[in-house]
Amino acid sequence: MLRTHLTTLDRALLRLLEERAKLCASAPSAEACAPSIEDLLRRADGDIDAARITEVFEAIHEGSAPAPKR
Amino acid sequence: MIFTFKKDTSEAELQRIVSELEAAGIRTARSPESRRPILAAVDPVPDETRARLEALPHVDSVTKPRGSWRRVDRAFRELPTVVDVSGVPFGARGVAVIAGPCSVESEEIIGEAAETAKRAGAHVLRGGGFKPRTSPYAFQGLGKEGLRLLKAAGDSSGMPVVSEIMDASQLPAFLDHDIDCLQVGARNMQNFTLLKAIAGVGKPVMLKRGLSATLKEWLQAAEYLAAYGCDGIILCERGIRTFETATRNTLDLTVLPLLRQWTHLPIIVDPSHAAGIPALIPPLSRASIAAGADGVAVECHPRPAEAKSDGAQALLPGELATLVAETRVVAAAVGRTLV
Repeated sequence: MLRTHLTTLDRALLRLLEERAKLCASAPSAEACAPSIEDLLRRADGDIDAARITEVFEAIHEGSAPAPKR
Repeated sequence: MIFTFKKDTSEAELQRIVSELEAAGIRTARSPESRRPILAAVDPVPDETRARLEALPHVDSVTKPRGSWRRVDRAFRELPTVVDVSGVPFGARGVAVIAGPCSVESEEIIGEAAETAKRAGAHVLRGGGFKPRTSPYAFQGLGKEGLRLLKAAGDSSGMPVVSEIMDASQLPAFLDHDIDCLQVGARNMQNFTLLKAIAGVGKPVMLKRGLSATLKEWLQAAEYLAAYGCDGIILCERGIRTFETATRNTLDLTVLPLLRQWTHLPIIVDPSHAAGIPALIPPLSRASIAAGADGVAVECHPRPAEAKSDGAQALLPGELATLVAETRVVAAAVGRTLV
């Protein structure tokens, strides 16, 4: 049961990350698609601490930001 | 009756079966499906003929449609149909958003609406030139000039356009202005003269569900379009009339999973006309996508209070942007994406 729930959530997270990357691909710069960490921290009301949230979203940004233009 | 053949069935074998059926007075329709031959018997097939054909080595399966339609039945295509509206696909993995004002009111308003819809993330611009209004005294639309302004706004913002056609006499105006998708409104769903007239012109058709139409009546209307040559049919659920008066209509989301079983056609939802209340449109859009809609069609207006028709149910530009963003999230959660 746990595996079913986690797999379903992971697949949804993956699709959301792909959607984010798709949007970022058309952004003029990496900065333009940086997450608003402050806003996310204000909204966070679960069990993940602020440092971890920051770390995760920075990694997401790094993974979905467009490559620097030459 | 729909006969699905094995992939290696030869054209000669297929032709032999077609000839046999036609010789018995049974008209046939060949599916455009490229993966394997699929053949519909338009007329009733006697039990003994069916049993004999079913036993042939090339016949994979025989399906009896749930109604008297053939070409729009799920079994007539192996995969769901994807309808291309000038580059925007309906029925593929992507979910499309159609947005725009109820009526084209002026060059300025439709231009502004198109730009805001595009910025919000919409894919197709809607707007009525010819308006089917309940009252003869209400704004009837700008007619042909409205279509010209709509197409110009679509071109300028980079979006194909959809507009409602009410009568076959209006068809030349739609073709002259190269309207990308013809909308048949709820009141005209069973106007078979209109359906036959527009089916063969090579344009996709968005067929709205009639106010009190059953699913069978709706698919039967779609069959008219298919039988007369239209291969780009998009169904649009827009709410039905029930005993409930709190909303303009009652949105029937049941059709989404049910029609997936009954037809291969793409299905979108118009929550604006279903609810008639702007605050209900975002949650109904999310629910529609979650239930399997291939898109949503919503009304928006840069200044709803000044709108000449249906302003009370139009979303503001900011509300549309939020709706599209939320649609993206729900689509991802159910394994889809935005177009």
